[in-house]
Amino acid sequence: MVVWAIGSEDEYADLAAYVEQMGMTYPLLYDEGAAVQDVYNPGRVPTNSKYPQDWIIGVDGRVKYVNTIYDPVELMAVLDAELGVE
Amino acid sequence: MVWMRRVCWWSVLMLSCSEPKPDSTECETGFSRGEDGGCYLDGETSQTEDEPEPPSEDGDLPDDTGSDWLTAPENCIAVDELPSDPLKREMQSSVTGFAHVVDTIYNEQTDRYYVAGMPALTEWKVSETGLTETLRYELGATEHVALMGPDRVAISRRGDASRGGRVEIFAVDEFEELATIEVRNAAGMRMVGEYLYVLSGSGAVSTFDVSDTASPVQVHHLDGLGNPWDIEVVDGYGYVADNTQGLVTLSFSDPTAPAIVSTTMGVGGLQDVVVYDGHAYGAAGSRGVEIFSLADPSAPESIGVVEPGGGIISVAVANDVLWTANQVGVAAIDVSDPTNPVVMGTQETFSWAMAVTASDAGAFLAGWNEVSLFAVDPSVAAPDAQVDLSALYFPEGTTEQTLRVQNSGAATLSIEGLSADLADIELHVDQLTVAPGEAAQVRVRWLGSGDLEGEVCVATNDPDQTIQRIQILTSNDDSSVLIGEPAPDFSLYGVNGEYYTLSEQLGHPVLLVYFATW
Repeated sequence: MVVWAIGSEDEYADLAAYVEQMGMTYPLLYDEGAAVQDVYNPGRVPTNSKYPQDWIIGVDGRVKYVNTIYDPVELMAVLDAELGVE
Repeated sequence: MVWMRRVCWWSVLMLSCSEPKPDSTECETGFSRGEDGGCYLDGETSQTEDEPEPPSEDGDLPDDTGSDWLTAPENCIAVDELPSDPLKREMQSSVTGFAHVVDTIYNEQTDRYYVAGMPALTEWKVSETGLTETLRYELGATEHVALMGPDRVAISRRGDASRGGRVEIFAVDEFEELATIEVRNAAGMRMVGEYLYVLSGSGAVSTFDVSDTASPVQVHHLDGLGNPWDIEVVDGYGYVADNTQGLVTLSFSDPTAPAIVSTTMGVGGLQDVVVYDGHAYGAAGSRGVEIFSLADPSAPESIGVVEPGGGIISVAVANDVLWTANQVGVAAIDVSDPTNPVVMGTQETFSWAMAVTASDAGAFLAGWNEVSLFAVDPSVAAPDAQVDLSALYFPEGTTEQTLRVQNSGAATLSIEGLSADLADIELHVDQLTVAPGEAAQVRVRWLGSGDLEGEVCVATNDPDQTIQRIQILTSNDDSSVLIGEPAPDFSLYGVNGEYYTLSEQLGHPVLLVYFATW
């Protein structure tokens, strides 16, 4: 599976420093001007804050999941289903 | 639509459910000052404008056809005389420079609190002026913190690309690092006697002899756990909150070699656990708090779930009160009868509420940008309204949806008003007074056509939250990406200089994490 972090609120340099500081091993994409964010969530997903938002895109390219609260159990259940894990 | 419900439990609490605020000078955007000084949703200028209609008490229980629904007063105003709120924030202090908080503990002997997170470990004390930060150690990302004596703490770290997971033992006063133990993906810890038990998020628990804290010696390693987060040790048994396996019970009959004796999977994975008076309470995220009987301490049995809202990530207990940090706020739950837990009160926090610890004084809550002390008065009973959704969707052809208003509190909940900011919305309810433990159904009928975008307001006598607003939307709005729709393609540069395109990943599940470093 593929994991991408996407940041739009921070400066590019801050994001790069963050990757270094946290030792992130997955890509951190820079969404300048929140263009992608605005397409994915133009305010229709009930949320108190834009961050964090976890989206899962299924193997068929369709949106399978969105959540703005950290819920690892649900997240993993959706990913397991996509990966065909029992 | 499970996802919707999941999103909504917590957002119900966070949506701008502003009550009239006579003391403040400005109303929030979308609200106007009414004649009585309160803030009202635009179009509802005061309490007197919409004379509440008397409820039609003509029905008994509603049937599915809706012929016996009641009509609540059509308003959205805070109730003048609310029941007393048993839950109070006693102190609050803002915290700067934090990006994350994971754990908090209380040192009874020194009356200090410790908060672990990113990028520091902080120590707090209650002083005359409130909560004061007494120490701050900039350690980078820390996970859990455990007491190893009055002046010793252990801090766990998950590890990163440059350095593996580990536990570091500190003397707090001089902040001297005494020892480091390498533990892969280190998570929760517990010191019992001369032994420190350290969970590894990779599915293990390691036992260290720390009779000399400066030179810990590993004496045992046990695999077979899933993704354990935290552990509580009581009377020879360890109870592990495991995010994939649920509640895992360890026997400590030989303290140098804990062994798994049972695994209890109830509603789902657990992220934190506390044991109190023969029961274990597990933080089960948006599923609530799962309660286990320890009548047989080697084989916990799930006896129920209490859902105070939000996503429960941390639990603590003292004096028959179970406290939860649920990311959006704090809840106090009376567990004097674990078979009938009662939500005493809930309160939103100013920032993400991530960890809670309890003492006789109440609960100490650590959020991203604050620490707070909460106290609850058990002699005060109040209703607690939990609306099950923060948004109702009306796809084309749908004319009716139902909201559920649960009274999780200890006193009768009364529904004081129901209104919508749109014409062509009809609102009815099956009961205007809701006994503790009961729920009212609110029927929302959309008699119009075309796109729908507005709000339903539910006014109750819940002292924590008298006004709750629920979005009403047409779900098939093509400007939003919703579940089941093709994901919009995009290409972005990573900060590593690579170029990434979503559509190239077709055939692989993709987890997109929108985040910010703050």
